[in-house]
Amino acid sequence: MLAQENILIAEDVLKLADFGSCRGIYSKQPYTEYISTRWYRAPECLLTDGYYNYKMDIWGVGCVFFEIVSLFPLFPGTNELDQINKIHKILGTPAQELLEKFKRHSAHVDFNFPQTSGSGVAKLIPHVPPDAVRTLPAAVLRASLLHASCSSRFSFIGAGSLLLLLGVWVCRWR
Amino acid sequence: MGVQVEVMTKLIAYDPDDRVSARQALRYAYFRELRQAEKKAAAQAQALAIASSQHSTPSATPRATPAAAPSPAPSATVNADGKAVRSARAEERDAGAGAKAPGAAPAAAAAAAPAPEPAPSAAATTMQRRANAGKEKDKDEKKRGVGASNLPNMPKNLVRNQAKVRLRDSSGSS
Repeated sequence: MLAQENILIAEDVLKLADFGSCRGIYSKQPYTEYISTRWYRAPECLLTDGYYNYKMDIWGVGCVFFEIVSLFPLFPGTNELDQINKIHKILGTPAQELLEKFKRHSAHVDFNFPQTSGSGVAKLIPHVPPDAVRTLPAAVLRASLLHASCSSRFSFIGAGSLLLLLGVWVCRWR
Repeated sequence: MGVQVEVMTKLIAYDPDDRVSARQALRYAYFRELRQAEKKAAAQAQALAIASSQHSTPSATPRATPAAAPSPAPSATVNADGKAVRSARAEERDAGAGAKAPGAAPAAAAAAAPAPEPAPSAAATTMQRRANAGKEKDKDEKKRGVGASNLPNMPKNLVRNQAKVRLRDSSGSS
């Protein structure tokens, strides 16, 4: 799934790996709920019984992107409930209608979340030298998005290995 | 900095319906520099191909000075594509020379049309040209990033080519 350990970089080549949980495009919902590394799992995947789509990968891309830029995970949840709470702490508890939308496809989640307004992402991003901002994170993000935009045969394919990637990044700019 | 936060926020929109798609995200201003670098690289490869097909010395054709490798990805395509294009054009040129002057034809033209009759060798030339067009199409697909066409091969290559470094275990893998 879209997680750190599956983005591999060697010199000027960047590849995405681990297609362990890809699915054919013709399979029908609901899909497996227990999918994706927890930290990069999208809210619709955490809250519904398998009613997610290709947008789930975009969430994962966003989380990985944040981690490349800031060098720490955005939502390091220790379990599923903690995961959703960590998301709410930063993005805020979503509007009731949105929660209702998820609730229609959910039987296992208690939707009584404490109301929080969320801190926002901007505050969490430290100051990074301008060069670093423009090159590697952008290149990685672009590669991931290109991959996501053309993976029509299979969906929900992971990118990953930000860990390796972080290592490369740290070596280059620190 | 602002652009980066904007991209990030769009990628991690709580509602999957509000979340940006990969295709939309690739059009963001955040990637402008990468897009330009890629375009420049493609133009350089083209110029290289034209220069070699016209039998002119590289210094004779005015060319843009090579970019100082603004990002890892585009510079990789320059090298690979530059070589690929040159060899494809060289083949075509050789085949064309074979059609005009069979006496001076190299091995490629001789293999394609053993009898130096004008009609078959001309047909061979067009076939060659078509084959080259196919090659260039492939190359374009590769240039788009991690193409969908070679996805199934990737994990194998990765295992063979690079050591998978795990700096830290992420929580609950899929």
